[in-house]
Amino acid sequence: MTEKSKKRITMVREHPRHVPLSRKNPDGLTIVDQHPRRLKGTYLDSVEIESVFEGYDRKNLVWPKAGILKKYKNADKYDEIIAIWTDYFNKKFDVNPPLDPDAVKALIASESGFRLDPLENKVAFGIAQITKGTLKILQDPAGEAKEFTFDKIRQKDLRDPSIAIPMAARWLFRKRDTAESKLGRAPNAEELILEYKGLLKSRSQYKEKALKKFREDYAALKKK
Amino acid sequence: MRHLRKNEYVAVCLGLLSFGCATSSYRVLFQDESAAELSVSPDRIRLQCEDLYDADIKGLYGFMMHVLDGENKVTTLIQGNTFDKGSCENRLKGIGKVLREGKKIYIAGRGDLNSVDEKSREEYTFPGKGTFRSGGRILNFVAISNEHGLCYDAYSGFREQPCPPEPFPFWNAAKKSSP
Repeated sequence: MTEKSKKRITMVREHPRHVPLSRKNPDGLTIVDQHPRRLKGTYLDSVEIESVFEGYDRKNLVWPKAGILKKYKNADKYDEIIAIWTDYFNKKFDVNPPLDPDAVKALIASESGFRLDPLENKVAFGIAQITKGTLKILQDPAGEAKEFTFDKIRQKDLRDPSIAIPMAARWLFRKRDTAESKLGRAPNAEELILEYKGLLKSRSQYKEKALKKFREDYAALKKK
Repeated sequence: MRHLRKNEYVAVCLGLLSFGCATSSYRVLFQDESAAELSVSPDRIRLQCEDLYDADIKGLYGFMMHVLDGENKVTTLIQGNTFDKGSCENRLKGIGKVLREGKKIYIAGRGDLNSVDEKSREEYTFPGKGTFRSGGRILNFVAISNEHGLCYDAYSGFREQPCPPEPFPFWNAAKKSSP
């Protein structure tokens, strides 16, 4: 494989662009600043997300365990979305050990209780409680998640689990990297979820209690 | 101590402020290995927004509700997602209203009330009652209601219908059966 084909983004040089005549642009030209451009296969927009989901090969897919988190309404409703996007990003990033779909399911249980749009939070949105900051990073072709980004996803789109879940799964792979650099080793499922919540190094009472609850749900899902 | 002071920026106990003469009570209405419902008097409830100042994301707060049980041990209900300061304060106000306007409080949580964390050593002060140690029992907060039906849901506040959400119908049966 050539070096060129591994590139995720390319820089577009400063260039002129024809625009309608206006007071600001009386000569019908404007200068477009240098900017990064995403290359095909390195990002997803809402149309592409739908297309990947519809056409995904479901053979040999690893599903999160169903019928366990009975006290959550809709606990199993999003299993297919979780399974497909966990598998998609496991293949995309090829990490070992792979991301466990049960960990994604337990994370969603703790973040929203499988509610599509918890209303009582002004800074995080949707079933996976993605923050404004994370949404921005996930769409920045020059940012910390530039290896694989999303495009044209609006804050209100996070209410849609078919968009929020793939974004959360992708963010978990970024959090895997940041947790690994903090720990000096690959994080386990608990550490990964704490890093997603921004609490990996926290010494708060809340962290210990939240971890215990995540551990219980995750253990229930892993129980044979 | 500095750590404790910083984290305890808001801790509200509405107990004896308005219920000085009310009978203090604690009762488990329902429990199985994955859920529990409690009926308690407001003086046994303490709310807390912990400032997660050492989190990676600045300005995060973790919501917890501490409940003093019949054996004078503290059970904690937590909210799995974190909040900004304003959202957490709104939560204190909302749940505070449920507590102020009721004498019998119903609480729903997910988790096993029999699962005890032996390492838990925190202590919590309930004004007028004293300081009590955690019993190491932790539940996920689902909803809280008073006997008048004013109900606050963990994720939708007062807007959730039905509240508590399915499958938590248990305290409705308890209300009907109580005099």
